[in-house]
Amino acid sequence: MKNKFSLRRVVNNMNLVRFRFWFQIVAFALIVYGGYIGLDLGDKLPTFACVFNSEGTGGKCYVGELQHDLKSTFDTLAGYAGYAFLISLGMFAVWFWVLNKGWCGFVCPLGTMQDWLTMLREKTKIRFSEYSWANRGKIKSIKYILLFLLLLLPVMIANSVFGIPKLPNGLSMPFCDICPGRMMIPAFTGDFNQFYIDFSSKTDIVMTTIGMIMTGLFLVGSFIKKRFFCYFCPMAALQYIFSKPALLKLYKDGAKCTRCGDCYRACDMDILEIADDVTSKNLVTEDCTLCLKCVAACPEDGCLEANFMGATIFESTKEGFILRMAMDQNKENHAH
Amino acid sequence: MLKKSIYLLLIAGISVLSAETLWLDEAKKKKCCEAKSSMPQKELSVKSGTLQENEKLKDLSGSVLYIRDMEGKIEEQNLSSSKITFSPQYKGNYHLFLKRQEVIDGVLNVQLSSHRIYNKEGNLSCSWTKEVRGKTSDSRYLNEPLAHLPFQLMMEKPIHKHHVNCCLYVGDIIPLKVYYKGELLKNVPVVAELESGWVNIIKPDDEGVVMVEIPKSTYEQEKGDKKRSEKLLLSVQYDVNESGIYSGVPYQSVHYVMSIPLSFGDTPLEYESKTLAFATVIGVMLVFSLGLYYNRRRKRKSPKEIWFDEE
Repeated sequence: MKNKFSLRRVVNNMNLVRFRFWFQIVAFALIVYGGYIGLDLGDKLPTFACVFNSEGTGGKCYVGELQHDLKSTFDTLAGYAGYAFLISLGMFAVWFWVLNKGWCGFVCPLGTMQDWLTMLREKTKIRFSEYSWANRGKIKSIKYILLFLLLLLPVMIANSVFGIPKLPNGLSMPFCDICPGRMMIPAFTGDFNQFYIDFSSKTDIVMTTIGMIMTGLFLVGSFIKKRFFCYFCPMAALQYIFSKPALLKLYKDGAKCTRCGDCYRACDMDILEIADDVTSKNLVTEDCTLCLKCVAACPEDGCLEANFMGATIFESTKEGFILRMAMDQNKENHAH
Repeated sequence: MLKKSIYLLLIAGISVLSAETLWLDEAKKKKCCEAKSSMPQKELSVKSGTLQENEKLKDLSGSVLYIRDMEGKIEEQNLSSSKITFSPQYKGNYHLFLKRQEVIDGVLNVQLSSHRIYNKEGNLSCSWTKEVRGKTSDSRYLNEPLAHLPFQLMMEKPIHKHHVNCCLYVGDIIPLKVYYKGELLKNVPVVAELESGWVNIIKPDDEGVVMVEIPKSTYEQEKGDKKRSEKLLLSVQYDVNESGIYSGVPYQSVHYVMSIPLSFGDTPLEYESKTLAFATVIGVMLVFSLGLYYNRRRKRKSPKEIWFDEE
């Protein structure tokens, strides 16, 4: 006979939406306000803990450090700067391997903001948008282009590459210039100083203007499209490179899958493979944020599971599915 | 009580720009003579006077340089020639403290200066300001003053203001404290001077903290060179009625001078427009929202029925 009060059962039957909501709030508080209580998780975090949130930040995003590390001459990159770069990258990988893409789904403050905007849209009963299938391939490639540029531009500041003259120093943190997190995250501490257009040089004018445009697009886009920015996020592209050996995994047992499509409909990132692919075991794709909504939405026992170092920590169950359906129904009835 | 044992002589009508102030400066290398070596080496010189009118000290004999590394280890170097060579062993920062003593007319002049070198290239420019901003992991703020220096001017805490970058800007306020033999002095003013000759004397508050606000740049604006940096020298003087013998020469009082050279730039706020930034964000939001609205409205319309006449 099944143990009625087993921890596994409690976890599998939990209200994931509520759990994730509170987890994100705690993570957001630690990353955006942690600095006020002396928290410093270092500058190699695989999430948008914005370095421009100078007083409040409880840690710093690795993308900023990465750009900084690469702004060295080839001579120094071949020497100590190269070691520093590799050590930083190693630290980033270690942090990342703990939660895998769960950093995006549970920790990232920009992701959390997008989820809050989605909640706001749902409250206002405005219909959400989707990217057309025709454009999805192109959209997916944007993050790799951004990653390539943020790696290349700092190198081109310190070195003349392919005979091209060195780039102006204003491009030393190209992604930070255009990242909406630079404006939005400090704003949560009451610091709106990052909202500016810098007229001191042509490069600065262009980069800071793009930054403002990105912020406007981020706010409207995230309101209308779930996880709008995550499709373009170069951090997601960088993370995916290191994703295979990560400790947290999303496993699928294709034999148990009925291809009902519930997981796909629950997915904020519209990942088709989660419903369609019945042959792969590891289903952490480049766009996956490991939010585990698919696991919660799956009605088949043991079809999808979140696995940490070989141990199942949350898996799909018929019972959990029915309970969550009932919770949603109750919520809807309550709202009416 | 230490306070009682020391007779304070605050300089009457402070002769602020006395030629006694000295500071560490980066020795300029001629381009022809720059040799590429695997070990980056930095040459420093010591200047004396004011920022406007100064001379390079040619004889540093009797001077001592204390080098504090990231781990707090202190190395002592007795100087002899006019230049100080320094080879940082690793990436990080080093604090240099220069101490020079001599007896003139029965007064022991103790001239002190501190500087901070950052990274393996030993860059001096902006290295202090990186620390002022608290942007390095091994910032020395809130630490005790260096035991080797009887008199010390030091930063109280890092400043966090607009922008992540390391530079010190016009309008930034640096909190400073002055220590004598480990004791905080609450009545010693700090003198700030620029290369243009501008001088300001800032008195400490009740807590003994001197708040020095970086003044407006006095450089004339040059076309295409908006981000030019300017030098600022902070110095502090203190007299103690204490007699003794130094190098066989007796003295009746001690005169301490300590300086910190800084560089700063025009505030980026001068070239920034916040209004335009907010207008851009709101404009993009409006255009994007309206675009979505009309796109949705267009899609909602039922398709027109098209009839083809058969001929």
